[in-house]
Amino acid sequence: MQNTNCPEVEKCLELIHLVLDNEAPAEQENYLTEHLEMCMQCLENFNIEKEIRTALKTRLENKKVPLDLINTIKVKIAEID
Amino acid sequence: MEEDQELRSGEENEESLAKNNNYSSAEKDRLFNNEFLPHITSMYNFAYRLSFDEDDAKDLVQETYLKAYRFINSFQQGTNAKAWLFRILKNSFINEFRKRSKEPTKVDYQEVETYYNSDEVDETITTDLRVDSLQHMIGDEVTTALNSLAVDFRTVIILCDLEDFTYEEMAKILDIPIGTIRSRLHRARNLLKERLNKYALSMGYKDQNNKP
Repeated sequence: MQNTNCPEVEKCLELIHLVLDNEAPAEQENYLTEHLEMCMQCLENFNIEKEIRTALKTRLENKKVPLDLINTIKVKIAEID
Repeated sequence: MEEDQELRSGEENEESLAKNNNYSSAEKDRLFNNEFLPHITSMYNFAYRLSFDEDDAKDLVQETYLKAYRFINSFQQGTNAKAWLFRILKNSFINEFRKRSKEPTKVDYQEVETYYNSDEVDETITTDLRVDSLQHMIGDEVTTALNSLAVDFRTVIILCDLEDFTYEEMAKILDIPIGTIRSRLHRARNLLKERLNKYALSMGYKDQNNKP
């Protein structure tokens, strides 16, 4: 680990988002991987962004679909036909 | 017709108009049961996270499925049914529910739009947020943080992080360019991080300066 003050921290953060969203081209992803080996600040940002995504995926409560909803929809559709 | 426009599947508009289908009853039922209905849990949760109300969510989902069935001939087999359904739901929400939305924090839509469209670079948001404080958070805090975002910011996070849509799919669902998706997501994430950081601070995780 070398620098703790990345001169391009905002740009790197944008790239971190692209990479975590699987939207970055391979060469940009490689660039980030190399950069993270040297830049502690960006590595920390990367870990935080990753953890936020995990939290969203795993901690949010999913509502159960009300039991009668599918049935109501099917009945209404039968009326259309 | 406006409704027709909102129901075209994700393909280029002129193209999909040209190849409107004429599905048989059996095909319609098959598409509806096998391609549309399996997404109902995602749809209901999306509707609930937009409206914050179980009855509204139910109405939205029901309306979406009825529209999807009525306009099933504009759905191209082999294209992304989930994205098509989400697009219909999102448009129904905008058209009918937003006006009477029970959101706790009413947002001036114009203000939000101006904010997106400004060329201002995001000021760097430096938060003390740390991985371990995130790991200590419970669902309620994450939910409250997400729900506190303006609906347009909340929407992109839901579509991207919860529903795993690609930027391209999101652009079609929301009818905005990919570049706007990217910048809106970036802002949404910064805002979310800020909110989460507030919770972290209120929970007493503020030892950023003491870290090894």
